[in-house]
Amino acid sequence: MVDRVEAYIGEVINCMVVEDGLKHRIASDLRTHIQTACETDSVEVVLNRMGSPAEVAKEFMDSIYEDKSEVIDRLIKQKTMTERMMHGYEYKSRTTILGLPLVHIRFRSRHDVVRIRPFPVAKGIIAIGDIAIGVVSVGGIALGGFSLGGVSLGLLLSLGGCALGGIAIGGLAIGLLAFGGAAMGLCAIGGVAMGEIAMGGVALGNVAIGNEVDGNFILSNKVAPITKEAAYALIKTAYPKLTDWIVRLLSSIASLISFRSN
Amino acid sequence: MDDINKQLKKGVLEILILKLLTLRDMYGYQLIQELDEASHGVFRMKEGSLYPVLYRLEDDQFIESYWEQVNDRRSVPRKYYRITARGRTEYKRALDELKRFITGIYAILDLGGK
Repeated sequence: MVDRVEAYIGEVINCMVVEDGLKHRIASDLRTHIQTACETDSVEVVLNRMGSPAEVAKEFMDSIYEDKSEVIDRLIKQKTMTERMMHGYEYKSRTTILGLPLVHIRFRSRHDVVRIRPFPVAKGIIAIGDIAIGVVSVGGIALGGFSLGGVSLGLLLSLGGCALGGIAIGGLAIGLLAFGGAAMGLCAIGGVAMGEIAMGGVALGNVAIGNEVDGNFILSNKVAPITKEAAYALIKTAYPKLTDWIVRLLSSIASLISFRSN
Repeated sequence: MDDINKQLKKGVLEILILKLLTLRDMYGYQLIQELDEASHGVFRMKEGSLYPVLYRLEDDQFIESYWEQVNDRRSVPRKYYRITARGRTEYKRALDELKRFITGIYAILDLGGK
């Protein structure tokens, strides 16, 4: 009997398009329901009375999706967002600091994609948009103190596909401290790194640590595994006046990075 | 449920379930039987119509469930439902609303005489 009931419930659940949590809830209740009904009738009578698994599933789903207001709410929100994107979107907070809005969000209309028009610029303490300029900026092109974008220029921190900044992190990173696929900077760490101090698969610099290296002071893992001590000694030799904690930090990074060896 | 009266029945199902649970705690199968017997077959519910309503009532905290093994050792543990204080308030509110609704319907049906 148990197998017959479980098979029936399994078929009902398979016919349903509802979230997993609800499936478990329904399966549990159907199991108890059928077992209770089977105390007075045979399992065949009970299951026949309930109908085919597809019919039971349909009845459940009819009732579950009877109240579609949540679905309608979601569709309206999606529609609203789409409309906003189509017609552009701008939000500017009333609060200002030094004449700049605290938050400025500005996206171009999708119609502007086909018409040649200047890109709107979001300018604020926090700026978000196709082009964003702010202390904190997020956008296709982002300029500011802390920037995140496709192309980002951040005086302090910059993250992006192409990032320029004090500390730059990105596919292409250029900065005092640069991390990236291709990194250029005073200290550059990446797949290809170029800088005063360069660490990477290919490292070019005054100090070069990595796999393929070229520079005045070099350390390659082709010769021996790069240790913290060896990196420390190399950097200290190249820059004897460099603050000790910086040397330690850089040598730690050098030892942690796993350079591909041939 | 009969297709013809499906929508009419669904509209009042929550109130009827709350009403039954004000009488005593009941399990799902029992609710189906009580609805059928008390309505003389008008409310012959299928499982797929009852349980989603119970889920909604439970999620809204109008009812709560608990498991209980009845004395007979052969029987399976049953999931009982009981109405909460919030459910009783909701029942009174919904009942008042239903009464106004029915009064409104009759007011229209009585237009022009019976």
